Amino acid sequence: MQDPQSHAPAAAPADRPAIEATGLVKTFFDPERGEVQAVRGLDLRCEYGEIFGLLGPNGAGKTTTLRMLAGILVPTDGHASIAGVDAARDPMGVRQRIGFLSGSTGLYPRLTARETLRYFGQLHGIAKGPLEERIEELVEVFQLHEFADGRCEALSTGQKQRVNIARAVVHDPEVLILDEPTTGLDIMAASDMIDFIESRRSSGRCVLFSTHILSEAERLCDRIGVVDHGRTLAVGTLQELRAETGQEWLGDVFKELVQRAAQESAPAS
Amino acid sequence: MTGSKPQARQQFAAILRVELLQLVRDKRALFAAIVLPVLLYPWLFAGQKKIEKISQESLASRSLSVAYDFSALPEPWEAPIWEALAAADPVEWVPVDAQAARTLEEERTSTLAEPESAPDPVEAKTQRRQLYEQLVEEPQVLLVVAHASRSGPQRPEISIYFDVKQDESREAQSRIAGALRDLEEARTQALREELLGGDPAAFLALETVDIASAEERSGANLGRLLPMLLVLLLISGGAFAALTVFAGEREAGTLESILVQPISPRTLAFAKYTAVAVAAFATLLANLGALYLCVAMGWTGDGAGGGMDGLRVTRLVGALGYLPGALLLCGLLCMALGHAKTFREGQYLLFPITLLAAIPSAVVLQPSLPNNAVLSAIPFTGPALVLRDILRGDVQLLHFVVMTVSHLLWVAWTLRRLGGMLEGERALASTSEARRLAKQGPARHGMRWGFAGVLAFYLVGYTIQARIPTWGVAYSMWGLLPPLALLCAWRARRTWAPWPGEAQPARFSLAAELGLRPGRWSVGLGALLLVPAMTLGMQHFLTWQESLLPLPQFMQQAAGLETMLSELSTVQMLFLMALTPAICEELFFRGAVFSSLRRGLSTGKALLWQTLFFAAAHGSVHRILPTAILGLLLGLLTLRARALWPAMLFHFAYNASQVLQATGELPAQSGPEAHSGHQQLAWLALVGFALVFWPQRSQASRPMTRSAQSSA
Repeated sequence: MQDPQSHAPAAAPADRPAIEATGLVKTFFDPERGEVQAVRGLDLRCEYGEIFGLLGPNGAGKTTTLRMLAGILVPTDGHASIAGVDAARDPMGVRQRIGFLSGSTGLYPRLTARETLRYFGQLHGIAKGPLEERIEELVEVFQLHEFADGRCEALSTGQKQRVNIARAVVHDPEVLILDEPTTGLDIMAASDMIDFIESRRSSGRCVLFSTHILSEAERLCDRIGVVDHGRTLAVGTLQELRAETGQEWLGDVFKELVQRAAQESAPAS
Repeated sequence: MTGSKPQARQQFAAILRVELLQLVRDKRALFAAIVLPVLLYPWLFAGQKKIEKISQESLASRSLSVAYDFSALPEPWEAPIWEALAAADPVEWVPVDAQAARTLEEERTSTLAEPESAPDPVEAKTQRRQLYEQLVEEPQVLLVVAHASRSGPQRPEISIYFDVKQDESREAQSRIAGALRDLEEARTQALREELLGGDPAAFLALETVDIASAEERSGANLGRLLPMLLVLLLISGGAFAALTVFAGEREAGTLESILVQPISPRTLAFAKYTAVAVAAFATLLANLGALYLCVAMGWTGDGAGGGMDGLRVTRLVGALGYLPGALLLCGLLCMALGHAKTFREGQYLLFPITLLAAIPSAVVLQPSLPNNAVLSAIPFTGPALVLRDILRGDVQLLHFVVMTVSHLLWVAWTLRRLGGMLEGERALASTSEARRLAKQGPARHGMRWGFAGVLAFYLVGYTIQARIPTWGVAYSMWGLLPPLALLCAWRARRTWAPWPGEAQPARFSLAAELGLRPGRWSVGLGALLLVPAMTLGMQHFLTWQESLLPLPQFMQQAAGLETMLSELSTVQMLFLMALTPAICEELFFRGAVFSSLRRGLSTGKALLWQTLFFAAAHGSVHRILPTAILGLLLGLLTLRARALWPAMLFHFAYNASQVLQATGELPAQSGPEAHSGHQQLAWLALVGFALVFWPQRSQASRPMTRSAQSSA
C-alpha cells in the first residue's frame, strides 16, 4: 500500500519541525481526587520524513497528548504546533494539516466506502473534480475496488481498516497522527497498517503514532519517545536508548527508564 | 490539497446530505416512522367504519321474535297500529296469555301508584323479571301489552318490556318504539291541524343561530386536538433521527474522526440539528397528509371526521404558525439525546421529553383560556395557543410575534448548547466516567434524604398538623426537621469531599456541613433589602396564578388563618409562622440536603433539586410555584453567602411580612395608593441584588483548573 502522493515532495518546507510540543500539560478536574494531571510537562519534536513512536503503558497520557496535538483538546499549559500552526490558537488550521486515526475508530455503517471518502474530502473543502480523482486513486492504491460501493457495515475488519486509512489521508496531510492504530486488528490487517506507515516516511511526511506494542515500535520507528505518568522519560533512536540504559531489548530499556524515573522522584516526595 | 480553506456552507451541506442519506437508508426506522403510520390511517378509518356498518346491518336485518298481548286494544286502533308496526319488520309476532300479561302490568302500576308501600326496588325488579320470564320464552325478547286507558281521553296505553342486557331485546325495543312513536307524532300533528289549526301550547318559538362559519367551528375543534398531535408526531419522527445522528455517531465510533475534521462545532451542530428537523417535518407532513386525505375522501366515518367540515387548505396552511414551536421541539430532542452514549440510553429519555412538551401544550384543552404575551413566550404553551387561535381565526399579531421571537431565541439557545456539547473538550473528556462515578455517592445521599424529608412531612408532619390545629405546625417542624438535618449531615461524612469551587476546611465538620459558619455579611444585608420587593412580587404572582388556576373555595377556608389570628398574639404568630420555618426548613433543605447535592451534582442541578424538594414538601398544586420561587432564591442566597444564616434571615423576614400583613400591622402593598412606593422598592431590590451577586474576590484568587473555571 503506497500512497499515490508519496512520490511528490512534501508540501511544507523542512526548516521547521512537523510537530513541536513544549511543556504540554493537561489537567482534568475531578471532585473526588481534585485535579488529575493526565499529561504533566511533555516535550516532543518530530521532523518531516520521520516516524516517531510514542511508547508507554495504558494510562500514560498518550491519547490525551495526541488529542491535544490534533486540536481536539485544549492544553491546560504548554504549547503545541503542527507545521508551524499553533494548536490552541488555530485548531482548524491544525486539523486541516493532519490526518488522524485511532484503532477504535469506526465507519458510518450505512455509507459506502466511496461515499465515506467523498464526505471527508468535502469536509476538507476539496473541490469536486480533484476530489473524485483523489478517490479513484485511493480506491486503486488501497485496493478497495471489490467493496467500494457496498455499505461499510458489510465489510470485514481488514477491509474497514483499509477504508479508514484511506479516509484519514484523503486530503493528503503533511502529518499523520495514529493512536494505537493496530489495536483490535488481525495479523493481516495490522501488517497492512505497518506497510502503510512505512510508505509515508519515504514521501517526506511525518507520522506520529502511539503504541504499547514493543515490536511495532522497534520495527517502524526512527525515534522513540518513552512516556509514563504523563512525562517523557527519554527520546532517541533505538540505538541511543540502548546506549543510554545499557539494555539490549526494548522491553528492558522501557523498564529501566521507568525505574529510574521512580528513583528520581522518590527523594523529592 | 490541504491548502484550500473549507467553507462552512459547503461543510454544512455535506454533513446534512450525509446525515439525511443515512436516515433514509435506515429502512426499518423509516418504515416505522413514516410509511407504516401513513398506511395505517386508511386502514384505521376504513376498519372502524366497516365494523360500525357490520354491527348495524346485522342487527337491523335480523328477524326478531316479539311476544304481545293486544286483547285490551280498542277496536278502532287495531288497524293503524298493525300498519305502523310493519315498519319494524322483520318481526315474528307471538301472542301470550292475556291474564298473565295483566298480572305483570298490575305489578308495575301498583309500584308506580304507591311508592311508599312498594317493596324494596331490588326485590320488585326480581319479581318483575320472574313474571316477565314466565310469559316470554327464550327467543321472544320483547313483550308488548296494550290496554285501554284508565283515565283521561279515550286512548290505548302500550307498555314495552325489554331487557337492556340483550342486544336483540334492545334492538326490538328501539324498532317497535320508533314505529309507534312515528305513528303517534303523525296522528297528533294531524289532529292539531284539524282541530286547532296549529299548536296552541307553544308559548314562543326559539331558535339559536351560530354566527361562526362552518370553517371557524371546525377550526376550533381542530385547535383543541392539533397541538398535542403535532407534539407526538414531531417526536415520533425527530426522535429516531436525533438518536441516529447523535448516539449513532458515538455507537459507530465515528465521533472522534468527525471532531478532528476542520469543522467548527457550531456548523456540525447546526447541520445535525437541521437533519433532525427535516426528518421530524417529513414525518409530520406525511402523517398529516394521510390524515387529511382520509378526511377528504370521506373514509373517516361519522365520528372522527365530523369536525373537519369546511376547513379550507388556506387555514390549514396557517398551522405553519406552529413552526417555531416545532423547531424548538427538534432542538430539545437534539439536546437531550445528544448526551446519550447509546441508543438504549437515549430511548429512556423519550418519555420525559414527550411529557415535557405535551404538558405545556395541554393548555389548549381549556378553550376559554385567553392567550397573552407572557403565555406566548413560554416554550410549547405559546405555539399551542397561537396555533389554536390561528385555526379559530382570531389570532393576534402581537402574540404571534412574541411567540416567534421568543421561540427562535430558545432555538438559538439550544443550538449554542448543542455546539458546546460537540466540542472535543466535552465530547471526549476522558475522565468524565470516573468523575460521574465519584459524584454518585454524595448525589445519591442528598436525593435520598431529600425524598425522606418530603415523605416524613407528608406522613408524620401533616398528620400532626391535622390533629393539633394551631401548634401542630411548631411540633411537627421542630420535631422532624432539625433531627433529620442533623442525621443527614452526620451521615454525609462518609462521602465527604470539598465542594467544587469553594475554599473548604480540610476535614468534615458538622457545623460547616449544615452551613453554620460566618459566611459573607454583605449577602445577608442584600437578602434583607430584597424582602419588600419579593413580598410585592409574590402578591402580583399570586394574583396572576389565581387568574389561571383559581383556588377552590374550600381551600381558601381551610387555610385557617382567621382562627389563628383570633387565638394567637402577634408574637406567637411570628414564632409559629416565621421563626419556626426559617430555622427548621433552612436547616434541612438549604443546610443538610443542599450541601450533599452540591457535592454530587452541578450547581444548577443541585439548586433545582433542593427547590423541587422544598416545593414538594408544601404539598399543594397552588403552592408549588410560589414555594419553588422562594426555594430557588433561598438556595441562591446560601450559595452566594457560603453560609445558612442569610437564607434564614430572608425566610424569617419574608414570612414575617406576610404575617404582619395578615394581622393588619403592616399595610398590604396592593392597590393604586401603593404604586408610588414601587420605585423605592425597586431601588432597594437593585442594591440588594448587587450586594448578593457582586463577584467575590476570594474566589478568583483561588487556584483553579481551566475546566473548573469554564464550568463555574
